Amino acid sequence: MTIKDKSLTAWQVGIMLFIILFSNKILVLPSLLYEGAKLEAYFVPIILFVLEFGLIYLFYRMKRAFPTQSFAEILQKYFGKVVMKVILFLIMLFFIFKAILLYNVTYLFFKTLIYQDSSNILFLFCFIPVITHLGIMGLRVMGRTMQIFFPLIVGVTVFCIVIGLLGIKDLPLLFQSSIGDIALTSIKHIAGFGDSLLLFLIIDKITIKRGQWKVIFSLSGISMFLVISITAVFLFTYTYTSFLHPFALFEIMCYVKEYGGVGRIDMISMLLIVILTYFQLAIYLKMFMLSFLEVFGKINEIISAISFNLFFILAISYVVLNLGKAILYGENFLPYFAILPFVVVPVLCFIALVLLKREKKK
Amino acid sequence: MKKVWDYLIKTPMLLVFIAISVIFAFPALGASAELDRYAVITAIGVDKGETEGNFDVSLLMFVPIAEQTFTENYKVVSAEGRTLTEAINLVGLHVGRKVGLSHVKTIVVNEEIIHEDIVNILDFLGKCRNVASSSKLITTNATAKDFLTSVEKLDTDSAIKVSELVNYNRDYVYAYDSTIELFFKRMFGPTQTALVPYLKLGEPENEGVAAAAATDAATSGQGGAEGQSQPPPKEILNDGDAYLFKDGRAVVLLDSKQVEDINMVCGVYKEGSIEIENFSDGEYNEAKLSFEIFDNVVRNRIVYQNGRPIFCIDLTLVLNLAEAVNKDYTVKENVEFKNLSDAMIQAIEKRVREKFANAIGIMRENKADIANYYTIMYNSDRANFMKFLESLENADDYLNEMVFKMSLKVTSK
Amino acid sequence: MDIKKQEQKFKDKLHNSIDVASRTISKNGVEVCFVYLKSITDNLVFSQSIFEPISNFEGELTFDVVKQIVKSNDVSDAKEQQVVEKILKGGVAVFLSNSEQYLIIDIQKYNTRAPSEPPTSPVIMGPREGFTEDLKTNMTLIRRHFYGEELVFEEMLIGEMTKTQVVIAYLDGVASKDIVKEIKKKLKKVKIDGVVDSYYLISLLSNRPNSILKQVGNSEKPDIVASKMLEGRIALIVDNSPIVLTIPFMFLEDLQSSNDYYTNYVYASLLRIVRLIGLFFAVVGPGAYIALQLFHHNILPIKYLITIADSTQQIPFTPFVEILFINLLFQILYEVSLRLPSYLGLATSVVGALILGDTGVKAGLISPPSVIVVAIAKIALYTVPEQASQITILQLVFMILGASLGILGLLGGIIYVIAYANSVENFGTPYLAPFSPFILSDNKDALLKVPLQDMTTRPKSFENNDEERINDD
Repeated sequence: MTIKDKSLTAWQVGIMLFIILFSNKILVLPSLLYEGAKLEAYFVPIILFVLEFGLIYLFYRMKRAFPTQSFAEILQKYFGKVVMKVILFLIMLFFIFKAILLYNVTYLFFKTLIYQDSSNILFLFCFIPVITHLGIMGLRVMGRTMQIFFPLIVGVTVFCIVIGLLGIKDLPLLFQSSIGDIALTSIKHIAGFGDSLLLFLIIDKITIKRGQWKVIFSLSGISMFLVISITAVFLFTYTYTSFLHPFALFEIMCYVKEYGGVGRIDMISMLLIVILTYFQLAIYLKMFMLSFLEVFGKINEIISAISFNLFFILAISYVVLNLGKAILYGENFLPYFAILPFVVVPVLCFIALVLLKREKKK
Repeated sequence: MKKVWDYLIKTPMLLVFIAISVIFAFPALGASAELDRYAVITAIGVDKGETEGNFDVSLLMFVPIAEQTFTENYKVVSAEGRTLTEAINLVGLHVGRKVGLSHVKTIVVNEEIIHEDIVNILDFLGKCRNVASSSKLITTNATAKDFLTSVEKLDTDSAIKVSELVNYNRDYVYAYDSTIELFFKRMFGPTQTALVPYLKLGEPENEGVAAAAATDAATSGQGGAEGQSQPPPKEILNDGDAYLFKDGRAVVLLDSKQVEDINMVCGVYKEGSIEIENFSDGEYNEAKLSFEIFDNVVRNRIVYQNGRPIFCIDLTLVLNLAEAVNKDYTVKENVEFKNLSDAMIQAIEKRVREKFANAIGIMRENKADIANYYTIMYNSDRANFMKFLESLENADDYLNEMVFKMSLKVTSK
Repeated sequence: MDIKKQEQKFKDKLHNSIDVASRTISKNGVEVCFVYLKSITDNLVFSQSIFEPISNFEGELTFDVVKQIVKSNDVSDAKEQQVVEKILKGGVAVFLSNSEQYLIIDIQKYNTRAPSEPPTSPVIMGPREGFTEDLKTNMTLIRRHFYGEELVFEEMLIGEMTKTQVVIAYLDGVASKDIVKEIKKKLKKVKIDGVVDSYYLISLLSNRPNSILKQVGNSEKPDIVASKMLEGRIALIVDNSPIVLTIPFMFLEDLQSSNDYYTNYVYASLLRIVRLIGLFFAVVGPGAYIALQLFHHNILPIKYLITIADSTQQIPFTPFVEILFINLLFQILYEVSLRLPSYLGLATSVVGALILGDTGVKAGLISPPSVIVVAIAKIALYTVPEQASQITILQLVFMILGASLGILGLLGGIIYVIAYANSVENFGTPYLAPFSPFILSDNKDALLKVPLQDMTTRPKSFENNDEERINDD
């Protein structure tokens, strides 16, 4: 058995989940949330993470009910091949659209701050080969690589939050927005969430021993807590000017940089963002590949990686060159895709569990 | 050849690396450093242009010198444009480099502009992602160009930088920071007030200095002829004055004493001194006493009476008698400088109450809630406070309708 | 047996080389022939222990009698087709006219180097013995560390022409039998004309021979090899090579040094962290410097910017070319210092220091920050000298990445290298264990080191037969 074929351990799954839960939430999102929910915007990730945690719990139930079957096999068994292919096709699109959104935000971040003279081609050359390599080398290699960077990611994130707390000076006007504002904002920005859907695609590639489930729940809980903390620290640091600062994690370090008198401390957050982006894009690519292989049959996985890259490059060229359309895409189009992880998949899983229970009773 | 090709196909990352080397690394061999393509700007000055509606932008530019002298060489370059962007681009044309604003630490705005256009200027600079929102904002009586010319000499010749000067102000003079970020934060907040440092330019120290300075004075971007001698750089005078802004416009210039009074009320500024004149008791005769403040703790309590908030400020001062200038100069033996007598404490209380009254007076007169009482009252008892605001004819006038009380406790170190 | 015919046959097989010696004596009607190689045998031992007893024997000489009377304890029978091989290994072939058998007496002797401290692994405190080119000496050095019954030496001959002796050494009951079997299998498959040094076997034993990553461990010190064998590794001792190979190999081994085990554990932990930092700077430092100059001047605080800007004014080279140029100069100096005789070494140092450190900067050809960055990177490279070749290659790669793609490229390169390292597994052992996969118990002696009494288990990063170092039975 080659290294590619070996399964992931609970820690590796937990770390993967930890990293992906940061995706699309620590740069632009806090600033966008302020526009709708003002200083109570940190409630939005709390609410949406509750839903996300429900998804992770559902995965736990599914894994216990179907220990060796893949998601495609489960869907095919209970809903037929057509439904399976449609759902997996939608999941495929879900992940690639998330990847496009993430890349777009990261591109804007680096382009405005440190790569003013560079073109999109340079960015594509930076990201595409590495994430493709990670995707093709397999989940095990990806998991192990993330395991190496994990202490650094956690350490730097906690450091950023602690440093950011130093930037909170005056208490602003609290509870100015209503529950309705918060709810509407949650719905508007739900597209940034739902990444735990990846667990369903790798359900048959995980080996979880008894007592190790708490590792997955703990790591996802910690990740959610850190994201909520980053949002809250950002909002309380910038208060009424939160809408002027699009890159939350970077900006909270920027703010303290001057007042703390410490050199370029914001570079640490920039490095963290780069590392996270590489891994998040690699995970999205891998999930795309896994669903692609199920939808189009077990053809060479390199073809699935090439398909991702082609579609990605074409979409990026279109999106990056049309920033107005990119914003519209993020706010008007993507939220509909959130139905997939929060409605469609849970309903299907619930039905499958019920049907399995009936089968066992028989 | 086939074997080589097969090997390359089996290791695609090698192909990628070759592609990167060909596409990017070869051109990089001939690419000059970014420092050769960008002009590093450390300060921006904005004046009104000669043409109505134009801006005259002056940029303090760092000029590298090919010597290991460990000195910093600066130069002021300016240009006029219809908008700030146009002006900055023109500066870039004049120096032959792109303008890099990521190291800007100070923004200087002429006094004439702050009554009208400062929000537009700051809005542009705030949107400019390269300009750190923590750049210090200051106003000056002279033109920003003259100010930067003086800064050029200061920054080049000495270890004192104007940004450090302003930082010192932040830590030891003003109650509130003055940066683009904080300006906007307070503008978008409920109080819409801000304090912006006011640094004056005085006359040059002596003609000799002025003559020497004339040789490396500013070069104007608008046809300043080579060899023409420029006015000598003026001295920067930092008296601790500040402009009070309300809703993005400058309302009144506060002198350093008024700024001190406000600092005491806010409790943010922990250092400084209290002076008492004509003090007489058993030991002193019409003496001037100076008390050093070691700590200044402010606690706020709000009580509502008949729907009207009574804002109680409990001020605790920890003081030390630092200096006593007696009318009849005598050297006193066994003078215990550490103990504050009852008479001293009474005199201090009187003085502090005067300061407090001045500070509240300034805020009421200009309807400028510098101390952010609005937020304190809103967060402590939102329902009662909103009721109080609704009961007023003009909600902006809440300071005048509130009652302020102060209780003071003075202790010695 | 026709003695003359057999003698000539063996001499012909040995190409009548000038060091082939043969002697035939006749004793009581029995002819006795001795064939050997003068260059690799002890002539005195031959005269005193073999020739004299036989020539002085008064009775009837038979094969068995000859076997009894020679004064040697390394006496064995051989078949005709084995005789030449044994002669080539330093044996004396003795055969009689009244017997069809052949007797081989091993009197191998040649000049070898005495065990001395290896230049690549100096220690401040601890054993200073190092392996030599003689297989027996090396086996002795290892044997002296294991007076128990567990030590096993198994021999194989590799190389069509050199027939080099390769000894597989391991501790029975500790090392994994599967790994031993796999090693033997790989060695048997080796088709090579000759093995001149143990390095020849490295690529033959690696799963990915084309990879730049080191996949087989090596050491010149018996104490290091012994401690690795105690952990469950297998050692390969190659004749004529002072470098002993150890399998399986993990990257962590090169971060460790024998000094770490002969000094305070806290200090050892600190040193390991310093090595890792040095390694990181060596790989990424010059590339990061180029990236900052070409892409990210706005990251640098103003004071550093001023220093670099002033230093790089009037330099005729672009930043990338300048760093490549200085790097090349350093590499040339390094190559020269390796090959020059020692009495010219001082001149090279002076020339190198003057040209690079002083004249080049004063002439305005290169800038001081660039010299400092490259110099520190080159020195830091030797915090982990066993990985010097890999780090040098990676240094160049990262310089190109930094110049091409900036910081994103550097970070992408780091992620790629680590991912690539994670995909390498040799003999079932992940390359980056115990960091990835994370094995808590093995981290007691990884980046940080715990006191010796707390290291009670063998590494779980690779297969071994006995997890507990001390068994209570």
